[in-house]
Amino acid sequence: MKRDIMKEVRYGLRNSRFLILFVSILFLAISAPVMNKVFLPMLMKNQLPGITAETLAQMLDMTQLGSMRGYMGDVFEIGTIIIAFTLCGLLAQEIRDDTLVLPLCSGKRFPAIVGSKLLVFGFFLVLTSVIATLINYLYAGVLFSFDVGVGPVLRSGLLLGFHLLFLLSALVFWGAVIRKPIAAGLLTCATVYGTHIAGSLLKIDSYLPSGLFREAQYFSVVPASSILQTLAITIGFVFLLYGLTLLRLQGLEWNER
Amino acid sequence: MIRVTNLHKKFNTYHALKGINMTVKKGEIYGFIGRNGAGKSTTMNILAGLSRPTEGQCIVNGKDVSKLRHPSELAIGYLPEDPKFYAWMTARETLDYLGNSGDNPMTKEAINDILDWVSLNKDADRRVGGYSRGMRQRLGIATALIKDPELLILDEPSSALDPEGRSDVLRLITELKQMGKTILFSTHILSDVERVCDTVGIIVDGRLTMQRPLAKVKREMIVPVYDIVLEEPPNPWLLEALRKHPKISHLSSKETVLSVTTSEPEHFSLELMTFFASHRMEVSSFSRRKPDLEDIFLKEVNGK
Amino acid sequence: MNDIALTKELVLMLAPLIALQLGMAIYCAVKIFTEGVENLNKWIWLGICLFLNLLGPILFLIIGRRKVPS
Repeated sequence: MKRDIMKEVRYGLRNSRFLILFVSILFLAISAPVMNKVFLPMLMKNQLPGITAETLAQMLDMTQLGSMRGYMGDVFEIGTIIIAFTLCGLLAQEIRDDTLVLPLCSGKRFPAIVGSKLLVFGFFLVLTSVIATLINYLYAGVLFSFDVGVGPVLRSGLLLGFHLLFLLSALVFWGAVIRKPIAAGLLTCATVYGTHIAGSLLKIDSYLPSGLFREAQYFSVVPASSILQTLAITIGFVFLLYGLTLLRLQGLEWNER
Repeated sequence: MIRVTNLHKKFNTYHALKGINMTVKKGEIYGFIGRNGAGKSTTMNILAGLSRPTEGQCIVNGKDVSKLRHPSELAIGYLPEDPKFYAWMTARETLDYLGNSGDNPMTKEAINDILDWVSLNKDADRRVGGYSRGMRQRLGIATALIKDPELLILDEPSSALDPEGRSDVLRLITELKQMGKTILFSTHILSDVERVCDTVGIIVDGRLTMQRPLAKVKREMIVPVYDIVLEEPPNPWLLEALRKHPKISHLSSKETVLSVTTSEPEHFSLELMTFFASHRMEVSSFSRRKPDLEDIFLKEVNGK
Repeated sequence: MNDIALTKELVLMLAPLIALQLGMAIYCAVKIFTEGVENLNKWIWLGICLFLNLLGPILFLIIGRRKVPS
């Protein structure tokens, strides 16, 4: 397992996967407040000349909280795509390129191979999301004013991170099922957006991983009582997808042409 | 070490293997010959535990491959036709990664020794992505040897290489034989088989059509053929007389050209010439040719 | 009139974003010239990295970066 983890870390470093993910999420964290402070008002003023400051304030949530919610939305919409396509080859490419054949023959087991992928990139995504959310909080605070405590921010970052972990496990699962990187990325986006849409339409968000994201967006001082349940369900989903991935891999034949 | 009985493999509608029976004995080098697409890789893939037989039984190293839970239970060394490594790892890291799974972790010294043995020490810290085909093949042999297995299954180890790379690989195979390993390797280069093998098996269209010790093949099948060209087409009664000749084992004729093989080569050419002389036949050319494995292989392939 | 008044403030506000952008572009430019590229021409990749915000460097790192250092 130690070597499998080392392998994934090397993969992340040498193929600049860590860099891409970190910079992308950081970019979203910085750009959201700037958009909110500078570009959106400018755009509105150009589009609707003679608009008053009050109407502008009504139309845009020009606060620290508003920017942070904007950032969360960006991570959900754009971040999902970036993560899905940056990591779409994580398992699918390995199956496609037959790079798992030699590890299998030398005694590597699927639980360790897939597990270390989830562990390394999952940990990295949670860490990145906490750091980026914190930076977003500080930057938005400097541009506007600090009106939220740091506690809810850390919690939101963590919840967002777990939502990304769910995304990652879906990515690995789809990779094992259809064995095509790009298609796995597309299906993962569909899964993530799909759960969100289903969750809000049927009002069952708190029973789905998308509930984590919804709660993260609130930045509320007192979290919803159902949040632990949502978290548990999400982790359940991650383990379920992990198990299904292993089941799928177990049933595959290797090195065919 | 390997016993295959009535092995079948179907991919959807394609019937790739149609009842293979083969035996590889301990300590021998078994050359597995066949055209591309004849079923060599499919067979070896099944023997390595990577895919499952549709029908039939394969016992490898005392284990039934269809009852495996994991390919590594076979404790063999397997080299795929085109071994795929992580391009972003170095050779040393690759061996360290592959060598440290399961019970016997590989020490740094062991990795160094094995890299030395396949002459990759100089390039051990370069990324594998930049390796040539021959270097990857040697690294592949190194990975097959990680667990120091008794039995090695090498799929086309020399075919995709240049002459130098080929002779490197063949040298490694000979050295492995001297260490007492059993090796099953496939190829379509017959001279490689003649250089290192003890036993040959010929696979044609999903069936093993021949399996014999190479020495026996050479003794029994590589017998001289006399090609005789006559001035005029021979009479039918003359051909009949030739066929009944006690020393001629096989005769084929096409107009003025005769091909004759014998089971008793001693003084055969003399008797043959006497025969033609006594029947007052003019011979315009008389030559002796020794077939090689290629002829036998072609005969096997075309004969079916 | 409005734009000019904003400029000084604007630059300060945009500083982190510009720094990130520039950092990535420079990093990619270095990679382009030290490691080489795949799939497209060096100069085209450089253009993409410089002029496509963030997406350019990401595309380069995923698709264009030479996987095999020679």
